[in-house]
Amino acid sequence: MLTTAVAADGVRHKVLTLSIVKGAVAGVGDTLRVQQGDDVELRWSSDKPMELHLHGYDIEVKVSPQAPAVMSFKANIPGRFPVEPHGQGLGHHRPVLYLEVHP
Amino acid sequence: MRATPRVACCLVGTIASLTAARASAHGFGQRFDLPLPLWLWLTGASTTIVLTFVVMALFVKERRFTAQYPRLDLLRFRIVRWAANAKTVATIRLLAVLLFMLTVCAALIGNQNPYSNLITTMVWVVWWVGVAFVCALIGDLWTLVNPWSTLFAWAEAVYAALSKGRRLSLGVKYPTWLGAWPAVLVFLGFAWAELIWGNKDVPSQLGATLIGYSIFTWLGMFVFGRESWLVHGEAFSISFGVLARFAPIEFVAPSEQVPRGQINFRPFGAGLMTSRPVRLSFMAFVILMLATVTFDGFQETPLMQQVDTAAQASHAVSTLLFALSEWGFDEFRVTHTVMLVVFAMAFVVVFWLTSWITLRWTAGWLGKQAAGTELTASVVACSFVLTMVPIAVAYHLSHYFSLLLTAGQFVIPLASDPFGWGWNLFGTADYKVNLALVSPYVFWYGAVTIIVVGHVIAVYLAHMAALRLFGSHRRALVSQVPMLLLMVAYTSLSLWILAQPIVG
Repeated sequence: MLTTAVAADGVRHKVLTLSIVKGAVAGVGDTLRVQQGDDVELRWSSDKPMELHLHGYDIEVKVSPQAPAVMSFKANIPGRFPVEPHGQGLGHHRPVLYLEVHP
Repeated sequence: MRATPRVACCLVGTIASLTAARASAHGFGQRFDLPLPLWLWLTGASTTIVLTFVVMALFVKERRFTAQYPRLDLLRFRIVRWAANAKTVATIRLLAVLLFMLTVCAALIGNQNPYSNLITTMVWVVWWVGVAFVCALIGDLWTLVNPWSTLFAWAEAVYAALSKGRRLSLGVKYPTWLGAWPAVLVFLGFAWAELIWGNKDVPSQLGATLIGYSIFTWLGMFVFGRESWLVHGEAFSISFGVLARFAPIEFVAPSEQVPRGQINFRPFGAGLMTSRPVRLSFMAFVILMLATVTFDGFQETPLMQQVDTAAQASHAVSTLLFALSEWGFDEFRVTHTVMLVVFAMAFVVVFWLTSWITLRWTAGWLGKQAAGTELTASVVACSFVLTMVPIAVAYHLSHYFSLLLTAGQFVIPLASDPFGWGWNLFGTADYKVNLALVSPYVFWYGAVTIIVVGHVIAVYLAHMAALRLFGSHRRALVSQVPMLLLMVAYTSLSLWILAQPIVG
């Protein structure tokens, strides 16, 4: 679920609620597009405990069924950044989400 | 793995920093480029097609082939003569050898975190991307700095001094039939390591591979002689040499005709014109370069991900993959290795087919004599292969341009702390990589411009190659149609890959 609010200073606040079920994000596509300069808040919940790593911005959170987690940042680097689950054993793990920050 | 307190504190949500990222399962130096917008991709592709015709129209006048191109000997300038003396060359070589040794030492005794150890950045960013850029855009840097060649040359000098002038080589005559095939195999192995190998960012593994390749190279030099091995077996001298043919500066070694040697300034791509067909093994090498450069980007497209998914979904394939995984082969890497080989084979087949069609097409339009009875498809292939190089160079530049500018910044902290031991020699150890250095607009427009320019140079070179092969202007124009179609397809493929979102 995505909500967007525009503050008085013109900065957009994007709040996205994401729940991971069986290793995939339910309900939204695999790419989240925001504009450079947006304030972004990703609220994670998951059916299994895991660590999520937003590359590039380099934010890591621990999420579990009991404890949701929040990634909150200003999207000031343009590009396409994967959010990867870590700590589920070895091997190639696909990102659960891509964050695209457009100029 | 030793995490220094510095690394640990970076982990807490430092924005615009890559330094703390842990060893991830995939490649070193991630690219975060936004895909080209659809309209830009389409504009680039249609400009390519239009310019192909424009370039051809400009050539609609009678001319003869000549391998001569305008060049300016830079040694006529005093400052260049002053700079390009033997002492400068020796100093640069010494520095390169020291850097090589530092890199190997870092791999063996340094911190094994890929971001804290010099070797990963040195090999994958500075050397493989950076040296390639210099070779393609300026001149053959690798011939100057190649540490394997320098170290062996030093050993030769020492041995000659001790043994009253004997040569440090068994002096075995290099078999002609073997051509550059050893380099082809080495390059295939290298491409696999670069694109698929799981331990490519583990410093000790990378260091061991580097030492292994060094021994292999010195053995080759010892058996066949240094010069001979550099042109037949040292894959990197050949691959950087191919890129350097595109470069505007040409180094001519001293010989009887030019006792002083020359440093020539020439148009981009002029070095890719040849006065005779290249050898078959060299042709295979160039095709392999083209294929791996493209596969690098293709690997990250959603299409490749669909191939992976399809492989997993097919019962027979997944059973086989599962059986292989029991033997310790990672399913993902098996699929990608197969795809790499398929890609390389496809490039060979398509290029050879286009060469064959060129012959049949030309003979069909102009009669058998026009095409020349002694011409075969492989002669055509070996005459045209280098004309494809500018397209690959352009794609390589666009693909790696932003990576070089972002991951390249790792050399700043690593200069202060090459072993990852928490040193701070120059006070730069805490430098944070700035990912916002390259605006997506610069990347987008830069990439499309470079690719279109590369295509135009390729079309020009293909026309020169056709003139040489088929003699008259009219025959050259007719004969070129199949190659031009292939070039448009290859350029469009490059643009298409850049327009795909990076996944996996």
